[in-house]
Amino acid sequence: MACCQMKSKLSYSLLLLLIVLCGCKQHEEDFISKYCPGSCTVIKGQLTTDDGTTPLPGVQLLAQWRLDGTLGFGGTVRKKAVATTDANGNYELRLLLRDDELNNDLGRRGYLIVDATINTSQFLTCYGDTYLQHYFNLSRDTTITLDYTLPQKAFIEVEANNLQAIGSNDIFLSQAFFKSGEKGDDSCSQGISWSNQSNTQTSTIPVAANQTVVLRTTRRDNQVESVSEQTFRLLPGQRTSVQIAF
Amino acid sequence: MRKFILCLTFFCLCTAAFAQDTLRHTSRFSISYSSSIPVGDFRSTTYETDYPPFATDGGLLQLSYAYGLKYNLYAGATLGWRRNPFSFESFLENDDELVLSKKSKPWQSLLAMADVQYLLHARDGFAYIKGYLGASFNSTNTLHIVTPYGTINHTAAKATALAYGVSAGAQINIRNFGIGLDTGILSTRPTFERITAQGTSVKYKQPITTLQFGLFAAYTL
Repeated sequence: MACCQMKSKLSYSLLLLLIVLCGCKQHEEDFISKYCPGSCTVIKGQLTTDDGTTPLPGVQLLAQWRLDGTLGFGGTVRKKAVATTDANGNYELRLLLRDDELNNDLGRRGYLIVDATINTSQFLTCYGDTYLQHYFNLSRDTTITLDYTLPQKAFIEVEANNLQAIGSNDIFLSQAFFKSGEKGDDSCSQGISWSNQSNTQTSTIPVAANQTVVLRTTRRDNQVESVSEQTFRLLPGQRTSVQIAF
Repeated sequence: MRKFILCLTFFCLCTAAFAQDTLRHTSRFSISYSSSIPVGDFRSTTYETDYPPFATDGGLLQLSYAYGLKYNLYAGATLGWRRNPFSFESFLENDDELVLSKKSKPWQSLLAMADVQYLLHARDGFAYIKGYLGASFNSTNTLHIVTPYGTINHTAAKATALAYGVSAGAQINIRNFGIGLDTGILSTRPTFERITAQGTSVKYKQPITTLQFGLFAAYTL
């Protein structure tokens, strides 16, 4: 009996160890790629802020190759190149893709991401965090252009009223439209929706500073839809409050 | 900056030489060899830095002359040669399939410094503490890695800078000869210039600070 209990404890310990080991991502630094000797994959472009016309100098960009593990366990993160934007916001990441990063065997699905070393409480990225863009199926001797607008953050605090009147088939939402991201258009816009079950009346939407922001509120009440718009131009870090009602 | 450092070094060395003419006290010559252990940014392998130094433990050879100004106060000059190899072990994996061949030359510094030392005499020797100030003539490591896709070739960048340090040690006297132990820290911060793959010039300051632990032999006139 004692022997069985001991075996059982040993099995649990081994299982725990296996989970811990599998959960560890392997972090690597590829200096050969960083000083790319030839056949380079080049990602270059310009970082801008405000409405996309102001260059953003001194931002460090890091290219990393990632291979996610099974069910979120394990995987590899490999640094491939680093660059800093110049006075005009221009940068160039040069890297050498290794054979195992070309996705041409074993059905491996690695991808390359470009991260910016920015203060996320100050700047607004399309996907949140510091992550700018990702690429699958890259090849050697290739040049990719990645221009990106990173506006500084401002905030619109939206107070929604009369939420109890929202029916189960009704819609009540606010979306803020501004230029940001790779295309510099409003595809990275942010918004919030309410229902009669919403716990909070007031929500904060991070928006772009130093450019025109359109706050569009959509109401669909008994199949009748109405849209209203307000425009703002906020300074970095500025907060403004808006009241809307269903 | 280079002229200022050279003038300062010349002035410091001359001070010791003139002192010899006007006072008649003991002179001491010594030769030492120490380990040279990189500390701080000189040991950095940070990926995000443009050119991390990857310096590893090396050696420091010093030739020194000291002249007794007073019973326990000496002034002198030191010439040094410091070498710190490039750490391939940190730079790449041993079995990296991209590497066909690799070689590098170490970080090197030639040091010309004036020094002042304070002695605490004992029956058969003395302990001392010494401060240095002078110039360093530095060159970065070289790097040559051949891959199937091309060659990584970093040539040595060179720069002059102010150098300073402190050391302490003890000497045992055997008649006019002496042997001893020395430990200290030596620092300089040259500005190197390199050309990037994009053809632009990059200037960066590289602190080169090393700890030293070593032995010396001395002869007293």
